[in-house]
Amino acid sequence: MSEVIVVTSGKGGVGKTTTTANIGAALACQKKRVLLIDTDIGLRNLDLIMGLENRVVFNLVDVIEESCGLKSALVRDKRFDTLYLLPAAQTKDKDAVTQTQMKQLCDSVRESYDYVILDCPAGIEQGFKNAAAGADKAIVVTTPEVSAVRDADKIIGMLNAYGVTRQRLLVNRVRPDMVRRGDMINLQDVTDILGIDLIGVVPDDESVIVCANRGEPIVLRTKSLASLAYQNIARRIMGEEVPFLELGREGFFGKLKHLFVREGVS
Amino acid sequence: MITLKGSKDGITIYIEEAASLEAAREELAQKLGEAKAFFRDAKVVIRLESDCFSAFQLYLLQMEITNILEGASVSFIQSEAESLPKETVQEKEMATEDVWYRGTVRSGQVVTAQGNLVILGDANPGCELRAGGSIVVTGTARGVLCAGIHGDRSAVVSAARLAPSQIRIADVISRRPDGEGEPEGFRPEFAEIREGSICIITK
Repeated sequence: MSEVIVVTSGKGGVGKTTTTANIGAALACQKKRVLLIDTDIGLRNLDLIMGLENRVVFNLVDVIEESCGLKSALVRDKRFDTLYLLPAAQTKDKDAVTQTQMKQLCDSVRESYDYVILDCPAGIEQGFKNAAAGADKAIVVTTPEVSAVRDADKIIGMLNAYGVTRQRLLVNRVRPDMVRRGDMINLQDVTDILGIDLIGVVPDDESVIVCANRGEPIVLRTKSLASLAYQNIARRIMGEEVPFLELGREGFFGKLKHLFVREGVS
Repeated sequence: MITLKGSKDGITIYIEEAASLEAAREELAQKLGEAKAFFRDAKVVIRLESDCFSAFQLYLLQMEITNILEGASVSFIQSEAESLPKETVQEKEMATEDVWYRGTVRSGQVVTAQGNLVILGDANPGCELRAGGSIVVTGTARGVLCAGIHGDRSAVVSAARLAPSQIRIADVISRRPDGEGEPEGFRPEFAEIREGSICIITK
């Protein structure tokens, strides 16, 4: 059973590309055959985040214009044998591809992979429409900020209009310290407004940026909480029931500190 | 030789009988330079017409105009009055033409020359330089550098600091090894085909 999943958000900078790269790597960790397609034509980034920039020869537009075969445009990941990337073109723009062509491409590759993940560009224009046209399911990425939630709401409505009704929500860059202080938008409020099921909550973690800059997937760093979050998301995509990480819960020493403070007061 | 005409749709710039691309550039810089303050923060729609330049040369001039009118938002209307026979004559002339490009070539930009290509500036990551002959970059060359695009295996790629993600000469491709950093400082290098693969040689 292969699935085509679009990773989208409406708003820019919330972490679509990082999410795509890490979910792809986490699924490949589980020995799944995965193809990542960068549909952000003109603002190509996914190859950079995955550290594959130097290997790109052909791209999505070349495949669609049939100036090369699909096989020659695919870039295999350095670390995972079952993870492939179809990069976007940097020198063209979004109009180089139509919705029909994108849909045909997705249908032609789906049989060879367990998961095809489309990295959608920001915005609600042609690029988004192309990506949505090919997808069966969507992962809507947002951050706990009012503007990102508003844009996610808009995107959910547009996905429904395009017939992509199976949607899951990923809340990215949640800061445990702010959750603890009660300064963060409540996750419950976010899911209430958006009305779709959570697929995961990814904590804000410096190592995500460090890894992205080095072109490494964070899932290989087993000690990071973000890494664990992405692996859990991959398992949920595969249909497993995995409990959510409890962000903002205090560690052992935090509790101990409270205990002492209370003792001191009384 | 350059006339500017205003209409309700915008400005039409007409270039006729220019001596060379360089001469046309200088005159544009002079004429538009005077009007620069006037166009600040304005939206300018320009139709560029010429009987003596090819589509690619006009494109270079468009970039020049955008640079000159810095601060204004400039958009171009493509002129549909390009007669076909003239175009083919121009294309033939360009077959041996070398291109001088002044400025930074940024991500997503492609600069093509049918002959040799000289970049007076840097080529940034994500850009593409394509030349029928050789490529010389006076600054740092990153991005994808394609020399000998019509099959000339004797073409070379040279830069003051050679740090591309890929070099392609004719039908041979090489990429930068994983994990290799950029060369420190400026040290002129060139790449050429030796025994079937691309070698980088330090002068």
